[in-house]
Amino acid sequence: MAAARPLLGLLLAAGLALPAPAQSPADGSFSGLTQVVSPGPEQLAIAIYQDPSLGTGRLADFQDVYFDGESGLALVSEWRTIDLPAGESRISFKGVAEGIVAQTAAVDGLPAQLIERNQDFDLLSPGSLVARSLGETVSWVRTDPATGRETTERAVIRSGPDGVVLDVGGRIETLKCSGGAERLVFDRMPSGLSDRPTLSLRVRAPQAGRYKVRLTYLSVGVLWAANYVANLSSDGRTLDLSGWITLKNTGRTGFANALTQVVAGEVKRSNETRAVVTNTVPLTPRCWPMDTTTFGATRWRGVPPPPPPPSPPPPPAMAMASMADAAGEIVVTAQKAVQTDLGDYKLYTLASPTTVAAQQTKQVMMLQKSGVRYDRVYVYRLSPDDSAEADDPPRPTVVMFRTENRERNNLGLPLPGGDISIMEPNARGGKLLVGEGRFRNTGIGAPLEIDTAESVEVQVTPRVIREQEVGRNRVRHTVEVAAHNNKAVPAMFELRMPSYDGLRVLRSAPRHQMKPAGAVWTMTLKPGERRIVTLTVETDW
Amino acid sequence: MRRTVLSVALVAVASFMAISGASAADRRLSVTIYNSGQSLVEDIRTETLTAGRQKLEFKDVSPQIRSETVSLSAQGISIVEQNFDYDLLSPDTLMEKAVGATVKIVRTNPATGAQITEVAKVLAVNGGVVLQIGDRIEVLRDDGLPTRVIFDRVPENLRARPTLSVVVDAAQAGPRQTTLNYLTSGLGWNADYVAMFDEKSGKLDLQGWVTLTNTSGTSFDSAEVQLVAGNVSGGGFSSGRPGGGVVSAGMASGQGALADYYLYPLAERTTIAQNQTKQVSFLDILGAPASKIYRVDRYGFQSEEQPVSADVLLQFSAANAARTASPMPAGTVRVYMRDATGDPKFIGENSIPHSPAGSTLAIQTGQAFDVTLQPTILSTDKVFGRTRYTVSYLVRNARPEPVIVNVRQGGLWIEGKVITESLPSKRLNAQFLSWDVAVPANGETTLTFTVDVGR
Repeated sequence: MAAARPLLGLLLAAGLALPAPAQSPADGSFSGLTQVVSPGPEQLAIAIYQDPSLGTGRLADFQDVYFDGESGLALVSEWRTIDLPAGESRISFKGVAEGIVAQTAAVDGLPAQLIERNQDFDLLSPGSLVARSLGETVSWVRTDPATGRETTERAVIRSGPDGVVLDVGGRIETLKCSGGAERLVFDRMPSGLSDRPTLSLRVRAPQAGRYKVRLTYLSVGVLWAANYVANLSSDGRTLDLSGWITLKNTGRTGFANALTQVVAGEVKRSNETRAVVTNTVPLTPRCWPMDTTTFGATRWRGVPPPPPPPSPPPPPAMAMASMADAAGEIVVTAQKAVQTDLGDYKLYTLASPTTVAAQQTKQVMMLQKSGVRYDRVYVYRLSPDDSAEADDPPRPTVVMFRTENRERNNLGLPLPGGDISIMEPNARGGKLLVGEGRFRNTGIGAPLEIDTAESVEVQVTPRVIREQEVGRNRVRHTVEVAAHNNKAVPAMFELRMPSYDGLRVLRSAPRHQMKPAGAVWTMTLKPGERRIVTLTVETDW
Repeated sequence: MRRTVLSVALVAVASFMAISGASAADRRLSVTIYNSGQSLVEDIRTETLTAGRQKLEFKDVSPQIRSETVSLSAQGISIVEQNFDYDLLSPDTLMEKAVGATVKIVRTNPATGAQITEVAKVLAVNGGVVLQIGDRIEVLRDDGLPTRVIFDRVPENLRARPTLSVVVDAAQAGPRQTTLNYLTSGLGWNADYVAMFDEKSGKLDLQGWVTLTNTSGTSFDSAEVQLVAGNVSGGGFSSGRPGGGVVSAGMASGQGALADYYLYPLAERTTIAQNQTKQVSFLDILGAPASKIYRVDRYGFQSEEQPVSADVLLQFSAANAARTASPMPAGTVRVYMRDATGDPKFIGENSIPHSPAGSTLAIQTGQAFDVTLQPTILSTDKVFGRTRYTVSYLVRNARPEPVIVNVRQGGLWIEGKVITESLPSKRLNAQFLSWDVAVPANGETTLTFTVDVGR
């Protein structure tokens, strides 16, 4: 019933399903059922979400993100073909992503009654092999180091895997405590163990048939972020902006030839959405103390950290045809992503199916805009008690690139938040990195202010000249702020006093304005000009 | 055929008795699983008892059993004692228990492969094994050469896995139905919901799944399973509400309600394997009424250099016209909607608390890309110890349709009040004011107000 309903059962479609006899090792509990194994997807689609938990602080640091079972989220759709037998059967889906969050899986297009959906994560390992063979008879093979002759005895496993005790026809012996060369040989694979966590459905179908089904699930371990490169023009007023989608797959499974989309926007996440953490059972000798100096052989059980991945490629530097395109036309390349709306988010669809291989970082062009008008503003954020000592050097300002996301500025398109590198032409016709910053998701019509590096080209010296307590928990400061332009060209300077703590500006010269940034003084400083702002403010303390 | 084999096996087991196997055909296992990660296991089987005292061993109980909660009952028996043994058999415990006993040691000559077997007495196992071989005292494997140790038995109380044993006194011999009850941890469940939201029609299709997870260390074969929604322990502790919240609680319907919690029996017997997550559908609602809400909460009075994204909330109730409303056990709601091509896409998830039938829930699914609020505090005035703020909130909408943004302002104190406002507010409670700000498509609206927040 549920399966016949379109989405709620979500998707699945195409793999071949072999109505296989119960050869799967994971058939343990349902050995009476017909087993169907779908080996892998025939067709794939993934939609990758921005991960708010990574925050802007880690957007750029993709090389530090490892598979942790939580970070990164994607909606994976797989099409598989299933040969459904009549009656009750168990359908196993092999080859799903490592980061699958099993409780989000859904299958669409299977005309059968779904009895239950399972994920088995009892994994085959040296330890679980012994654990599942408790009480079974195995072969114990010892090799004579001098002659190379093997001695094989049949033994019952009495305990393990945390220390294996063997019963060899009434003789009780232990495994790997003698110091000799020895091993266990198992006659068969115990049931219920699988190489990877396995998703399966238990279904009941009125009749047999071959169906193309769609399996959808959320998977962790796949991330994307937006990265931008801005090339400043020599006119000092416009820049060419290119945005890139950086994809990263931290998992061990790749997504081959998948229709790939990324979603920009902050999606609320639950900490229940995580991949199952499989603790593999180690096989330990747990021997008695020997050689007089140790307490039993201990073995390091930790999983070694993954090797550092290769650094991601630098943003494909500016190989853009559009650089020369003064008209501001967007050059549509085959690689460019197409943007549509998805509810309150933005959905970018890559033009052609792509492969996001295991442990790979990849970049695809998202957008290009040329001739974007901007202002370069030197900003100083002042707190009321900010005062320079007599011999303090002047304070640097922050170089802010400011524009508004509108068509009249040759912008006016959704800008997923991310890191931006700002380049300037140098005297020899090359490029120079002049600043790096980041910004948040910015919709059309919204202001865009990007703080980059500090500058000593425009400097500030604040000096508190009077401080007095007024009333209960209120304090009044009179501050003189001297701003100086060291550049050979005019500079736009902005003094900002954030308006928290009940900020009230009593007097100021020149006049201030109340803006979202707080109390703001804006002025253009001529080359070499020095100007003084005097202000008296009251705040809570 | 299969059945025959089984019952033959059963007879064989029954004749040794004393040790209870798992596979008795007449075994009835039922498991009641609570949200808290506790489960009540009831294991009913037939044991063939001898008259008088005897030890019944249950090897297949959960290793995470809370042994103080075990109770065994059967007609005409009395319990003498019950033990839960977890002294586990391994090479080192085997050697420790062999202190004072004799073992055989087999040394292999590394050059010739010749083996010499000697009898040794274990004197001590303290940082090394000290042996007495005839009149020589030696340390085991002090020379590092291969030396096997052969024990002639496994001590009775060393076991491969934790084992529950009950000593009973039976009045008379014969088969008896025994009922074993115990609590265990390692089994838990929660609810997972798939919500397909159609914004245009204001409808939500909701499917609920029970998700069971077994990491107890044992499998529960062919068990009757029921789930209890509600917290049965730690009353009086109110955990911080998760992201979601009940907007209005409905009446608890009597259906399936057991005292203060709900019981969900699974329709069929099922096997909950060790290290398994199992999901069973329990709720399926089509066309529940649902709507989207944009909201910005401001808790204080502060300007922001960067616009603040509006929260996007989904408000719905788990009911439709054709069905009675259903209670929703605590869990995670994952919301999907169709993209332009009709493919379902995930748009956010959040937790909900236990919600009685008929509740209206509002959960945040994410933040809007295109709907933002930028606050400017225009002035702060202090008058006789009271503070008056004049505020300008610029609400931007870059969407192609008009939206309504619910702006809530907190931070009002005693006798706080609105002095002037550009749109009418509603007082939610002593601390909060609320405005519904209509913003045209691709446009902006400024909400300005002056409040005396009191103090």
